[in-house]
Amino acid sequence: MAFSKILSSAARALSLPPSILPQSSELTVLNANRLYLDNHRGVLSASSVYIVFDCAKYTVELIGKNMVIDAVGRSSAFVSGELESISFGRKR
Amino acid sequence: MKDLFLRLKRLLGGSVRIEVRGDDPYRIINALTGLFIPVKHISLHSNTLLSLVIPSCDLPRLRPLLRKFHLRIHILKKRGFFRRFFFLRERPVLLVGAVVLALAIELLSGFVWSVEVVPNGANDRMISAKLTELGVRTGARKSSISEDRIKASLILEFPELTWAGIFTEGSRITVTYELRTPAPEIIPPDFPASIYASKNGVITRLDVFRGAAAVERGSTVLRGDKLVSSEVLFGENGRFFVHALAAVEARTWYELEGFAASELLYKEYTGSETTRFYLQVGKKRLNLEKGTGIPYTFYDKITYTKLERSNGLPIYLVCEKYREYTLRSEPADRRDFIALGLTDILTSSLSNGRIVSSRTDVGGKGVKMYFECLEDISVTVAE
Repeated sequence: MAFSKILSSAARALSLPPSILPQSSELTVLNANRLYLDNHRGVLSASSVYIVFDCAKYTVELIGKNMVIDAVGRSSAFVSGELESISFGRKR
Repeated sequence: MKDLFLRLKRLLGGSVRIEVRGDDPYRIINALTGLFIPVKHISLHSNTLLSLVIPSCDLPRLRPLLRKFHLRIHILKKRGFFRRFFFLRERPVLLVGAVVLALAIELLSGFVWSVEVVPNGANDRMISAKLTELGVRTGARKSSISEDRIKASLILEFPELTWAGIFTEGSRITVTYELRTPAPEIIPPDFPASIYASKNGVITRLDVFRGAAAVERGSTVLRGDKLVSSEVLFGENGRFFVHALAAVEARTWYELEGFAASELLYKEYTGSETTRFYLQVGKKRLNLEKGTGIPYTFYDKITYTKLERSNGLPIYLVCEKYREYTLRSEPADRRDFIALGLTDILTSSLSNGRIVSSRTDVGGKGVKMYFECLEDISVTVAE
């Protein structure tokens, strides 16, 4: 925990983007039908209307219709479909 | 390097689309990504069914995961570049045929299948015969043809040629040439020469600068008569020869006649068109359609060739387009045009002269014109 704080402080001091930090995820949404998630930890739940990704400190919940995971790697994922809402939840 | 080989293996091996059934099938996604297996196109059909695409070569690594998560898979479709040719395993003759065809094309492209001499005014039949004699003929091996030797032989054999070119394109050889332009005959100024009449006429002007006049102004001369002699006499028996020089003008007459049809036929296209395709294999025609008869009485035929450069072989796809037309006749009176045309013809044929007067007789379908001209009719001939 302390190490991550040091890293965060160092990144702020060096004006580096926070997305380079190991525990930060980056979410990019294109036109409400395509989503790119970088630095996730896995898929917690998946269906065509509801997908949950595990990020370091929270979860990313996608609600929509006809959602498809176009590609998924160890840390990144592409989701396409009719996105209706994106919500973030604290991990218990 | 290992990663590179793995990527290459996945690329060549293609991909497989599988259907995963069981409780919480999405768990397999995390397991696959944990093994660095790329997963694509995950369709989430229900809570117990999803489909995804993984590389074919990673399919065996999936089996232990299925046992672990109590899931079942069903292969939906296998794809890949090389997988397209897997059907050849069941049809080996087809594969052999393709290889034989490729070898045949490779073998046949080593021969000459067409020799063409581009016409440019020489005796092309003789040139073709000489080319055959030199080994440039249909069926000859391309490697046996020495372009430099053939060019030299052609120029030596045909003195009227000044340049010859041989172009090999695939299995076709094209021979082009240029004719030698003959040098104009020049009579040296110190060489004895006389002036003769090149046409019949009445001399209206004769200014002799060198030589002896053989006729007088007002004389009627015929073609070939000597006008100015190169032989100049002096004293009683003395004579010497010069290069005659004179300005000669004579009155000449021409009679030209032209005819025109009393009616003109015009084409009127009906808009109907028919297109026929056939294959030209060597000199043989292979029709690609049934019924090659032309349903029109009057038609224009437009022929063009497609696939002319296919493999350099003498196989052409020829398209013939027929456009129907009907004939419409109109009465015509074109005698004025004929008179103008006759005048133009005469004007362009007069090398150094002009038309002084003309008279036109119109009768029947023809036009007869009489011209009176003043022109230089002299021609210098070496003695």
